[in-house]
Amino acid sequence: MRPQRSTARCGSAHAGIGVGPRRAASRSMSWLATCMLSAWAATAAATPPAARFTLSNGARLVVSEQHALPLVAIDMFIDAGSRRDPGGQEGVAALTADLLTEGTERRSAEEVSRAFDAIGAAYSIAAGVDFATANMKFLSKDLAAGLDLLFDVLLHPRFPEAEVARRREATLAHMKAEEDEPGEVAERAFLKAIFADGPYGHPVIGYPDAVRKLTRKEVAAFYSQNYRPDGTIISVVGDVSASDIRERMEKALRQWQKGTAVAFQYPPDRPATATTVAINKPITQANIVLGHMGIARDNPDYYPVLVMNFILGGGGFSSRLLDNIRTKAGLAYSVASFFTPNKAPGSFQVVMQTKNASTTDAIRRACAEFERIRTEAVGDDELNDARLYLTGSFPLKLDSSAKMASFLTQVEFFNLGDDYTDTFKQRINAVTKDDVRRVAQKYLQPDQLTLVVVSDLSNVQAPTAPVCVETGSGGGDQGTGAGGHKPAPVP
Amino acid sequence: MRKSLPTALATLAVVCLALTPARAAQSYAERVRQAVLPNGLKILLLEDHKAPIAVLQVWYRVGSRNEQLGRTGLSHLLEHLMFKGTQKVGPEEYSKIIQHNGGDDNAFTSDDATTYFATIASDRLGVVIDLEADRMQHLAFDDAQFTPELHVVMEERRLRTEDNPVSALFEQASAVAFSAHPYQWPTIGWMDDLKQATRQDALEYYRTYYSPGNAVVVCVGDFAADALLAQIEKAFGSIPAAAPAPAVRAIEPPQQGENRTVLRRAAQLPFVAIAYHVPNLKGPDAPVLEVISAVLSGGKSARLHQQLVYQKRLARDAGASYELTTIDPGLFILYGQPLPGKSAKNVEQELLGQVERLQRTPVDDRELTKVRNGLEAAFVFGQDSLFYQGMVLGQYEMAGDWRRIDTYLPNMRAVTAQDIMRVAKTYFTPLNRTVATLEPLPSAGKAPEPAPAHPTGVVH
Repeated sequence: MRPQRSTARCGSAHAGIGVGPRRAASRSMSWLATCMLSAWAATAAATPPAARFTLSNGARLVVSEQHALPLVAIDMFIDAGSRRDPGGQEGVAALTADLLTEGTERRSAEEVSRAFDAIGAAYSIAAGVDFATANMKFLSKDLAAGLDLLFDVLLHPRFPEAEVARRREATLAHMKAEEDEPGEVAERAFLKAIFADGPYGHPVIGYPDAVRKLTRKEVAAFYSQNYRPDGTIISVVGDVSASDIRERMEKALRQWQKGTAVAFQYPPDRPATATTVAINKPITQANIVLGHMGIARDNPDYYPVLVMNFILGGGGFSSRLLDNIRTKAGLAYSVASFFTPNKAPGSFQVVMQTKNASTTDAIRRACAEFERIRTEAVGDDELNDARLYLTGSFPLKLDSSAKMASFLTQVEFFNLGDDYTDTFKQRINAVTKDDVRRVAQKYLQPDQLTLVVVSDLSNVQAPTAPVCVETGSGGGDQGTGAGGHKPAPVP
Repeated sequence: MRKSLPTALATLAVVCLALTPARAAQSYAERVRQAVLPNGLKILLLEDHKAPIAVLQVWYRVGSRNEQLGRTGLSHLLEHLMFKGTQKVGPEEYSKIIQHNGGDDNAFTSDDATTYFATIASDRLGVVIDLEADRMQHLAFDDAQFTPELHVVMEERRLRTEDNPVSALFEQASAVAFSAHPYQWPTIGWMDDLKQATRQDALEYYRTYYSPGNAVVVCVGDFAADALLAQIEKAFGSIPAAAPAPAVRAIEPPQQGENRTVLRRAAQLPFVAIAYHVPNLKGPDAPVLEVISAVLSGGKSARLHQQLVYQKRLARDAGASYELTTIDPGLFILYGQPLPGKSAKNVEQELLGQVERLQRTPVDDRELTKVRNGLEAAFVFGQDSLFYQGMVLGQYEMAGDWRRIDTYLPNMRAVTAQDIMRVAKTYFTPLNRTVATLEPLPSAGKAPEPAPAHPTGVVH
C-alpha cells in the first residue's frame, strides 16, 4: 500500500487495482507484468535444461543451473492448498501457511524475520487452492543459510498460540480491508455461486466466522496432515550445482517423512445453474464477473481452449472483448476473459468494470461476443495471430530465475513433460478454426452464465438470469460492435 | 492468491532501493553504450545475453509535471492515444503487430515521464524500432478514436482512485502538501479536467513534447550494441529536430507550518499518511533518506512492521515510501492502516514516535548491516530482469543522468548512524509535514438488497 503516481494503459489487467508506488517503480512492474500476460501464461515457456530427482522421502526435486548471476531462486508446491480446508475451517490452509514464518523450534517470529532480512532474501509462503507455494530468492553465497532457514520454517514450525492470535486478527482485518476492493468482493461471490460448498467454493483466506474459531489445534492438525513430502515439488534455479543441491536436500529433508494423507478426491461437478448476484456498494463503477465452470488442466481440449480464449478475451488488445467493450465503446479500462485450469475444473470468467450507468450495455456486448465465437468461424488472421503470439512469446515468460523456477514446478505438477516447449508449440499450431468453434460451443454456455455485479444498486439495476438472453431492455447501447446480436438457443 | 502484505512490502522496498553492484564486475558506465544523434535523440544500450530476448523502452521527458491546472491528465491521455495509429499503422495495430511477433508491449506515465515498451525476441527488435520511430512523428487519430479512449481513461480513474479510498487519500495528501509545484495533482488527472479534454489539446501536447530531443531510447537484452545502434540510427535519424519543450519553472517554496487534511468517505478502515518534503538524488542527503526508508520498512523485521504491526498490534499494515529519482524534490511518506478498533490517531502517534526515535537514538551496527545486505541482494535480483534494468536506466536518466546509478551503492555504504540522526532532524519536522487521514463514513443503509446467495459479510 503505497502512494501511486503512475498509471498505465494496461489492457487485460484484472489486477492492478491496488495502490502502486508514487511513481513508476517496482509495483508498476508487477502490475504491468500482470497486464501483459494472459491468464494462462505461466505454463508457456521454453523448457530450460533441468535435472529431475525423486528424493528418498518421495519429494520431487528439479534443478536448473543458471550461472549468469550469483543468485538462487526456489519455488515449492506442497499439497496443502485451501481445497483441503475441512468444512467449518475455511481459511485454515491460509492461516497455516502464514504461520510457518511466525516461530520455529529454534527461532521466535522476530528471529525468523530478522534471519530472512539479514541475508536480504525475498520470500513468500502462501496457500493457493490446489497447493501451498513457498518461494525464496537469495544470493548464492548465502545458500547454506537460505536453505537452513527455508526448511526450518517449513519443517519445524511451532505455531505459538500468541502468534496464531496475531495472524488470526490480521487475517480478519485483511478481510475487512478487502471489502473496499469491489473486484475482490465480486470474485468471491462468483466462486461461491458456481462452486458452492465444493473445494474451490470458498476464498483461500476463508470466511470470517470460520477464521474467528481457528486455534493452534486446527492449524497444527492441518499442518501435520498436509505438509508432507509426497506430492511436494521443489524447483531450484540459479548459481548452484544440481548434485550439490540434491545432496543438501536429502540431508535437510531426511527427517521429513511421508504422511498418511489420502489422495484428494474432488466431488463430482454439480450441475450448473445460472444465477445473478447483486451486491450494493457506494461506488462509481459496476464490477462485473460473468462466467461459469471451466476446465481442468489435464483436459485434452486445453490447447484449443487456450487459443479460443485468446481470441475471445485473453489476448489483450488483440481480443474481441477488449476491442468491442474498450476500444470501440469506451466502456471499460480493463476487460478480460480467462479460464483457470486447476487440477480439477476451475472457472471461466469475464471480468470488467464500467461506470454504473453502462452496466447493461457492457454485459450485452460480452454476450454478443460469446455468441459470435460460438456460431461463426474465427478469421484466418485471428487464428494465426493467436498461434504466433502463444508460441512466439514462450521465452518472455521465462525471463527471470523466479519465473523459471515457478514454471519448472508447474511442468512437474501437471506432468507436462520435459519436452513441453516442443509439445506446446505443436499442440497450439495444430488448433484449427473448427476446433475453436467446437470448444467455444462446448465450454461457453451462455444460458448457464452466473453474473455477479458489485455496484451502487440505487443507480443501476443488475440484469437477472439468464443473463445472455435478449430482453429488449436496452442499456444505452451505442450501436457499435456486435451489441444487439440475437442469441440463438443453446443445445 | 493471498500474499502477506509485509512480504509484498518487503520485496517492494528492497527492489525500489536497489541500484548498484555488490559483486557485479562492471559498473553501468562500463556496460552501457550511450549515443546521441544529431537530432537530439539519446540512446542507451545495455547488452545482457542471458536469454534471446530484449526490452526496448522509449522514454519521453513529459509527465503530469509538465501539465497545468484545468488541463491535468493530458500526458497520460496522450499515452493511451499513442496506440491509435499513424498514417501507416491502423488504430490499435501497434500491439497486434508486437503480439504477432511474439512480444508484449505496454506503456505507463508518471509525474516525470511517459514510457512505451516492448519485450520481444531480440531478432525482432527491428519491428519495435520501426513502430516507435513512426509514432514519434506521425501520430494520427480522429474523434471516433479520441472519444472512446477518453472514456476509457475516465473508467481507469474510477477504478484506481474514485472507488479506492486509500488511493484517494494519497491523491489528497499530495494535493495538500504541494502548493506551487505540479506534483500536487494526480498523474491520471482530475476528473473534471478529463471531461473537458479535447482531441486538439492532445495533438498540441503531442507536437510540443514528442520529438527526438525530448526522448531517450533504452534497450536491454541479447543484441550486439553496434549493430543495434546502426538500426536505431537508421529509423530515428531522419526525424527532424524540434524546438525544445518548454521548461517547468515551478519551485515548491519551503513549507512553514503543518498541513492537516481529512478525507471522509465510505471505507472499511481508516488510514493515515504523514508526508515530509525532502530532497531527491540531486542533494547529498538522498542516500541517507534511502537508508532511513529501509530502516523503517525494508522487510518484516524493519521498524514500522515490528512496532506498529507486530509488537503494539495497532496497524494491519505500516510502511515508508521515498523515491530518489524524481526530477524535482518529492515527499518522504510514512503510512499506516489501523486494525479494526484501533484509531488513526494512535497510528499517527506511533509513526511520529518512530520518527523521534530516528532523531534521538543512533541506529546500531547490526541494523545498518542488515539494511546494506538487503540493498546489495536486491541489486543482484534487479539484474535478473531485463525490464527492471531498463527502468533503472530510464528513471535515472529522466532525473538527470543515468551514470549516477554507479554512485548509489558507494553513497549508501557511506551513510552513518550520525547521518541518519542529522537528516531525520533536518527534514522530519512538524513545520514540514502534511498529515492526511482517511475517516470512514459509516456505510448508510443505501439501496435495499435484492441479491440472492453471497458469501458472508460482503453486503453493505
